[in-house]
Amino acid sequence: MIRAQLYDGRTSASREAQLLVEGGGSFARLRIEAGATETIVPLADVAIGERVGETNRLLHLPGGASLEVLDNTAFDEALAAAEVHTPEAPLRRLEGRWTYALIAALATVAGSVLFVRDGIPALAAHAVRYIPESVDSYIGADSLAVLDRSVFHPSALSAERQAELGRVFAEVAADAGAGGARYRLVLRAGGSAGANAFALPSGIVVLTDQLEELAHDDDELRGVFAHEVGHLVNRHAMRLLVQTSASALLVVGVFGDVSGVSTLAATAPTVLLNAAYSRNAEREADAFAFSWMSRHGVKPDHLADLLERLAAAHGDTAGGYLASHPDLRERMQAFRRDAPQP
Amino acid sequence: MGTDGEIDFSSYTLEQLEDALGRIDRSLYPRNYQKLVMELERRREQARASQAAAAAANAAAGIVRHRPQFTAKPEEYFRIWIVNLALTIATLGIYSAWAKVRKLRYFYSSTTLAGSAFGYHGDPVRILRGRIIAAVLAAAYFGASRVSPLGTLVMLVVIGLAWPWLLVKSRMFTMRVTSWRGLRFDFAPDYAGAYRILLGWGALAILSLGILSPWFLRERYRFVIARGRYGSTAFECNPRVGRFYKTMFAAIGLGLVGAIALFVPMSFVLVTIASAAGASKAVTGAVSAVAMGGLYAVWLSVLHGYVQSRNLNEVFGKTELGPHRFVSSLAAHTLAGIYLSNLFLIVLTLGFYTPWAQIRLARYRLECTELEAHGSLDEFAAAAAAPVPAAAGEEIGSVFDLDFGF
Repeated sequence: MIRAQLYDGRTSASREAQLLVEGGGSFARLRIEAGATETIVPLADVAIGERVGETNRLLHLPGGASLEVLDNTAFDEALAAAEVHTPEAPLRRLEGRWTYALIAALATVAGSVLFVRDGIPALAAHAVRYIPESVDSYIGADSLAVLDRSVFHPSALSAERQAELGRVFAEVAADAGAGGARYRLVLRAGGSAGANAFALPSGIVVLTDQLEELAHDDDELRGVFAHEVGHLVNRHAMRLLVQTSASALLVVGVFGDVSGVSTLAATAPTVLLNAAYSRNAEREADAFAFSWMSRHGVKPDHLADLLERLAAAHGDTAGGYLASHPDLRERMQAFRRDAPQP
Repeated sequence: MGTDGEIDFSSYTLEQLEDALGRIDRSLYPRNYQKLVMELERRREQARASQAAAAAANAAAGIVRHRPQFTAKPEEYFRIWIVNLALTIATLGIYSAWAKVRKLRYFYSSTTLAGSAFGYHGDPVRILRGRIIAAVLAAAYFGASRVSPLGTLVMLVVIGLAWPWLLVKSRMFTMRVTSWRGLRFDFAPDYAGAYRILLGWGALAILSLGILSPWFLRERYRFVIARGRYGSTAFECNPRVGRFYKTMFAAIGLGLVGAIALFVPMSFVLVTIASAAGASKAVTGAVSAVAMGGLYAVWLSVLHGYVQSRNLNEVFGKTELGPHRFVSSLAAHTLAGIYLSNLFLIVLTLGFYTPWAQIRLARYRLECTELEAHGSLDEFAAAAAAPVPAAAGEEIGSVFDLDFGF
């Protein structure tokens, strides 16, 4: 006999009951003895509740009454003997053994690392194809206006020099495929942003007077332009947007269960992930710059020279171009190493 | 000392008697000793009798205290948790709905009150549907926040306006999928009330710079609990606003003390170390940001533990279900200790401590909330079955971390 508690579904009273599983397969029946009354219900009519761990199983009888099984091992054995299968049985096997727990732990770690490192960027690159390029320009649409108001001043370069830089930039943009026609160069006195260059999702590349002064020749600036156009061609702004959103969702999904403190614990991995994603974006932009330069007979050394002068002028900790473009030394070395030997 | 046997011990307190017993010289004052022992015995008999009388009076009045038992085992739950995670990742998130049901089912059915376990009846397919809606909204929110500050503002206003509605839907879902002894819980929706309390009192709390926030808290707790039903019996909840004020002022004091006692000396130490080591500005900035962030998390856990324990004790202590009452005895330092060590160990183990953390917190909170039954617990009547609403409200609430009161 299997002990259980019987709830009638009309009140919160509980009665002691004894259960017996009789017959087998689709003819299996549940015999319930509670006090002097005895009921027999076909097991097919009983909604057998899911059991997790060593907790009590609930059985829902037709008509609203229910049973809480107290001798669960005996009941599970009786179900197995009657060839009645519970849908959660495979899960219970997985959850029951430490070997599987270890495999699940390894799979979780490997799976999340793979998913975050390769899966999300791949998904983002794929998803971005379905988003029209014109949508990109909405990202930070007002950022140039904000910078103009707060940081930048009109460029002090002569009109001829500005036109010349425009032509140099057009050379680079011409190589950027169909979207290249949208890209344009904007010149500004950098103010506190210093010697700097960056691309806005709307297709605008900003170059500050200070960086122009620091460059010894236009080949160095071609390298800078090629790098920024690399960001635009790869639609990094939109891809980073998709990636950071997806990874934030994932982090919340994994860690977001412990209330209160979780928000703090979840912020750190998100910040680290975003940093890793933007480093990757820099590498891709470098790769574009490198391939453009080799195709147009510009030695990658030029860009490396400019980066070196930047580092010398500002030291390691300065803001501006260096802060938004990390791993500078690594990049300079890459440009020097890959440069074709004369 | 006078002649042996002269002391009248009947005027002594129990403490004094026990003290005397420890000091008395038996061989020098045998009669005093005998009298002392007899007096102590008489007092103990008295105490036993009064305890028995109180128990008998309680039993006659039908008063019994039921402490919920939480039988979940962290080792067992770890295996459930890790299998849930692995399957969720392997199915690109789809299994997460089934994982949620399995987790909650484990927690609910591990909770026993008066010999019967709770039941969780959420449907994973509906939860999945809710999660998909929540994920789309979350993506829209992240998207909007990157596009422009205006986008963030628009989304925040939309979510803020939906908050009361989401709260009602979420409570309806959670209560209606919970059962005890074969009867379902319920939440009687009152959308107008939810808007009045969350947005009305919420706005007053903000406009008064927090001075009215205890009223907001009290109204919200009362709404969330008193709209609840077990079977056809409604909960009642009447916490005193004065207690929320007391807790708020104490928390502000505690916060200020913490800021002065921890953060100020800490920043001096950091700056001194950094400049002595000759580190650059950026490194100093990064190190102090990390140290300050950690300290902030620690202090927040302490404050959270304090406020949470005080508020919940007041709320549950003033909650009634029919003739029965609840008693809540959370200790601020224990709760804060659990928050703090959980946070520390989860970070230290890269998340693998989470199952232990969840069980510790749930066990402490459950076992500190007793039900004082006045009469039989067998006499609650069922209500007409209320349909379980869509899970979207509940899921949107958890994605956006909306505060639903617990």
